[in-house]
Amino acid sequence: MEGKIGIIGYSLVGFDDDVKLRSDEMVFRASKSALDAAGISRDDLGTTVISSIDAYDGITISNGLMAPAGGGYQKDATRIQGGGVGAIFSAFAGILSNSADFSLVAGADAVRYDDEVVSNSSYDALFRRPVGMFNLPGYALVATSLLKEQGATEKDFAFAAAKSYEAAAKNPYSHRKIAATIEQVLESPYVFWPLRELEIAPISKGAAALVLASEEKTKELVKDPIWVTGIGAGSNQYYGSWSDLTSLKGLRAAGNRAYRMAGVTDPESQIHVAEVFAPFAPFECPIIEALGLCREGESWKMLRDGITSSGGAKPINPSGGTVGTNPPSCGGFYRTIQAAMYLTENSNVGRAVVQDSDINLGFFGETYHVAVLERGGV
Amino acid sequence: MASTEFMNKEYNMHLDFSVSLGPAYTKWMKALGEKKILANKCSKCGRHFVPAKPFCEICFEPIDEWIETDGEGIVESFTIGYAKFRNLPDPPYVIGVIRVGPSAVSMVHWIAGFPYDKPEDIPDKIQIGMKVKPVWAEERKGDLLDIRYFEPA
Ligand SMILES: [Zn+2]
Repeated sequence: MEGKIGIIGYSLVGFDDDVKLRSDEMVFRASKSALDAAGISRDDLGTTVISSIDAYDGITISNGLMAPAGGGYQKDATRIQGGGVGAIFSAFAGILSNSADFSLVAGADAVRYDDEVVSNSSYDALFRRPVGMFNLPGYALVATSLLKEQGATEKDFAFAAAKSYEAAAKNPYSHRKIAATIEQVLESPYVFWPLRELEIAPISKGAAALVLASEEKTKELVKDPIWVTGIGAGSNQYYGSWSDLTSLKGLRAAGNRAYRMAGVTDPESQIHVAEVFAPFAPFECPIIEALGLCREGESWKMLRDGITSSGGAKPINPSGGTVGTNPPSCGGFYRTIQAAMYLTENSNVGRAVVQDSDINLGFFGETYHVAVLERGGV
Repeated sequence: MASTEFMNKEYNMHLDFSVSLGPAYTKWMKALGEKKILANKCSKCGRHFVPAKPFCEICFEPIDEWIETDGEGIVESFTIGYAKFRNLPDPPYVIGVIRVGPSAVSMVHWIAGFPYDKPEDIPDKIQIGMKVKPVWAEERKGDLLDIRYFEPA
């Protein structure tokens, strides 16, 4: 599969502990300003793809409420529950199949909910829910494996959080701008050992939208565009082996598909920056190994050496990452927009990778998405 | 515009569900009622599964071979709950990833029944690779919680 689409407009609304607008109005505001930024109107749209998760929205088929807010009235409107990059994947397919010249993807996080109860309800009722599984112990079980079997230390965990907070404090869109230091992270209490409170992402409220366009339309409208040149998805086993789950096989498959489409043969040298979904800060290390951004087993050393800090040679989450901002439904859009902004602002950087998944609800049976972004007239 | 001008609406849902477990899940759950942990086996790749699976997702074939395990498992990972959450036990408590018998996959259950002085000592009381065995509930009904927890073997 070859082909690419352009990111021709985007908008972010937020992010904060709470918002004062309902989901549909949030999606409308983000979509309207993304269309304005792209210089097109709702009439030009072929498809809209809403990223939403019913359990978080407190309404089943929440896309019924939000598709019109994303410009979808009488259009080919789809909803994806697997995260924002999954929605971009669907838009990408729509544009490459010639069913649309322009596609709008959008999502919002506005409703307050009981996170552990909602997350527990996403675990299966026979084997996981009865023993109290929800997202936080799921993350912590993975964290224990990183600590005991992959050479990480609790100080590494805290540093992964602290370097994200340092970057998040400089990002005007961030939810948490607390600039917590490594000492402050280590002083925060364990929630589920070995994870401490400040190593775990918050739930952020806000909205995001992007306007995506065919190669031809992008070239007509934008002088120095950011392209999505590759995109891929991959799922894990549900009742799988622990080593399969912790080696992130689904993510490896997703990355390989995205790289093949983008013509990336050596991600370690060809990808320069990444925005990844790490709902507990140290999770970025196994993610970058699975994405081939470093050699296997070297991610912790790169973290310690500052190579993956925002001023380092290979910044991972220079936006401030998931502990800075974590809107569950529109997080994949947030990361994609942050990566596009990074490419726009850093003309020496040519290629970024964005990684997303549905693990906000919990670990086990994940689906991962990976997108490759490139600048200019590639 | 001051934010206090907007209304807030609160609501909740109570939903009831019921599902038939089919032959494989039913056989595995019923055996728990008899203090047995069964494994089933894919005849194509030879992998065993605890909990049982109705099909092998790799070979993409149905599964119908069964064995009984001795119930002993290996701890593959664990976490300690130190904070109180709604509907969940009072802290501290341990959730473990446990691979039972010859299983190629893992199950999740509580680990308890080991001595400790202070809650902060618990991380040192459990090791990855540690052997554990099931402690059965007095009253059993063919449910995961027929196993109260796993304890060091
Ligand atoms: Zn098989």
